[in-house]
Amino acid sequence: MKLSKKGMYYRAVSRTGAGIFALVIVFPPALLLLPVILAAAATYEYLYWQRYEFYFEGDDLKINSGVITKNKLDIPVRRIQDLDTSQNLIHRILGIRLLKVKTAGGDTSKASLKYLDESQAEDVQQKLRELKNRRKQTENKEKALEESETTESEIFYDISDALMTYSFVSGIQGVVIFSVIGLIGGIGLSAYAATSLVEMIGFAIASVIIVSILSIFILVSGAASTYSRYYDFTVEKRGDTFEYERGLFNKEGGSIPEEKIQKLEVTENFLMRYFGYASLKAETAGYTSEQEPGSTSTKTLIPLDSRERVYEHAQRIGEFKIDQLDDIGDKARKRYFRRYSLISVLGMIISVGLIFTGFHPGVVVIPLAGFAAAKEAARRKWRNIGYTMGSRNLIITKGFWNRRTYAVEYFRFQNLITTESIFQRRWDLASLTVDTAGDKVINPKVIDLEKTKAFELRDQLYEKFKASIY
Amino acid sequence: MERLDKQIRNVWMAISVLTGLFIGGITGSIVYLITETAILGILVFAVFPVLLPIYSFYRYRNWCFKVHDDHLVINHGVLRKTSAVIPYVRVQHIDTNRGPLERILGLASLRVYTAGSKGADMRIPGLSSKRAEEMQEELKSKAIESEKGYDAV
Repeated sequence: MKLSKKGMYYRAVSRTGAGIFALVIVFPPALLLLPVILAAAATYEYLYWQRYEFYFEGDDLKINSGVITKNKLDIPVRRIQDLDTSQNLIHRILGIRLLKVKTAGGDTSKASLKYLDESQAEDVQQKLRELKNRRKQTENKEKALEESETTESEIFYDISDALMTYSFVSGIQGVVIFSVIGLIGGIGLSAYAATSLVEMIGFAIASVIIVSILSIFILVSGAASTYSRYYDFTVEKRGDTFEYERGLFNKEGGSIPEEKIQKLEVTENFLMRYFGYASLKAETAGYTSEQEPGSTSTKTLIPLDSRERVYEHAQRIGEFKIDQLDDIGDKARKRYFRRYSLISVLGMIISVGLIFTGFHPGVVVIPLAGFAAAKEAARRKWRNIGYTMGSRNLIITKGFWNRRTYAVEYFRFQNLITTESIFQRRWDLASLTVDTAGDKVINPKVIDLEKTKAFELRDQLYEKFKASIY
Repeated sequence: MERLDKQIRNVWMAISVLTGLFIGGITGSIVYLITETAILGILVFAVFPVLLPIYSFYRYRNWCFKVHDDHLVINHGVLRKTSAVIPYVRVQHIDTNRGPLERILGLASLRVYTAGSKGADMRIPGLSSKRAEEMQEELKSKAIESEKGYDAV
């Protein structure tokens, strides 16, 4: 099979366009070279297109490519972690689509098909689906019979009504942080700069108005961007694969096989929690070597839904029961209390310094409020950290403002790592990280466990891991 | 628990004395030029060649590992102590490295790769080259033995 011809023209223009534009601005006579550059680009893209060939052979997807160096790529279908498709506005007008095949390995086993005609992309996805099912059937006859009945797709999630709410709710934290800092700074500055009480009130009102306007702007623009990205978000479940599609201008889609999910993550920010909402994400080990921004292996399955329904869905994918959580031990709470008290002390020192430079003595209210809240804040932070070992999963939850709950199946563990920082060692605490093949940044972690508990938990988890794999 | 070759401690300490002298020399002279107080400059200069070897000493002392039947345990770290459990089933591949200095001293380091993200590659430095090769063979056979057709992801 070949790539799309329209894609070839698109590549020729899009890959040289920006460079030519910059060149012409810097050095206008370069315009004369335009035909030459375009011709060279067109030739290159034609050769690229001509020599790019992909086909299915047995259980493999094979790709031959390369203008100067020839590359032969061979991707066994069972190694595919997930598929991604995307289309920006221009792609949509031309009717072409980018298809990415993600595997767990590094550079040698990825494939970005740039670009396919829409119908062709569908065919490739369909073909991959068939291959996967066929493999399943030969592997497990009975299960396959069951599955062939369910290969009809069913709607897993449909954002429709929740889209507006999600757009506003998802970005709320940043806005709140911005407005709190803005208000404190603004009012503080007006207290400092004003020479009379009337002036101070005037300045304060002005800063409140400015901060409010900016906050609303940030909120609305963030919401608009979320709105356009999650427009028409639907997840279908076909057999054991999730297929999603979303986007108002840029269309994105992809498929995530259930068996490739490394971990599940339920997130709830404070506003969502207050209204009883949650979202669900799934992470695979998928990895394309071009580390493009925004191309992570974490995929949102449910942006927003009621908490119960999110848990219900999570429960259907893997075990996700969090009735009874173990706490991390009392010491951590004391540590947090000490930490917040120290921050308040620091605030007090700064306020005293400020008073000397001419601030109203009233500023001590801020660190005093900090002292008053330290105990409760420590308790809340502490109470929101917990973990539990289910029959198949380790479940970890943490976060008061932004609560994240992870579920990792035991047989997904790669390494178990305990760490003790110098601050933790003073309290005899340790953190346990559960390393999975997935995202490069965030790993589920039980923080500030009592040290003996941390090592005990690690041993228990290792036993569970062994039991799950052998 | 198995320790690293004693030689690596001496290497680390020697390197840290040299780095200490270098960093101390620069920061010490800057401090001296700014404050114009000789004693302050000397104090700042002296801090690094003293502190860094102490760090290296503890670095060596905290480094240990153990080859169990079905997993490897690696402990290390001075300010942040880390202890990792790596099941052999998860090992993708193992290689040994010998830099120029390591070759002179007959040392080698062993690197164990898994598909994990945080502990994607664990390096055990300062092994005698014989031990490194031995371990590479041992871990390799254990990894193969425990794999039994698993994807390791």
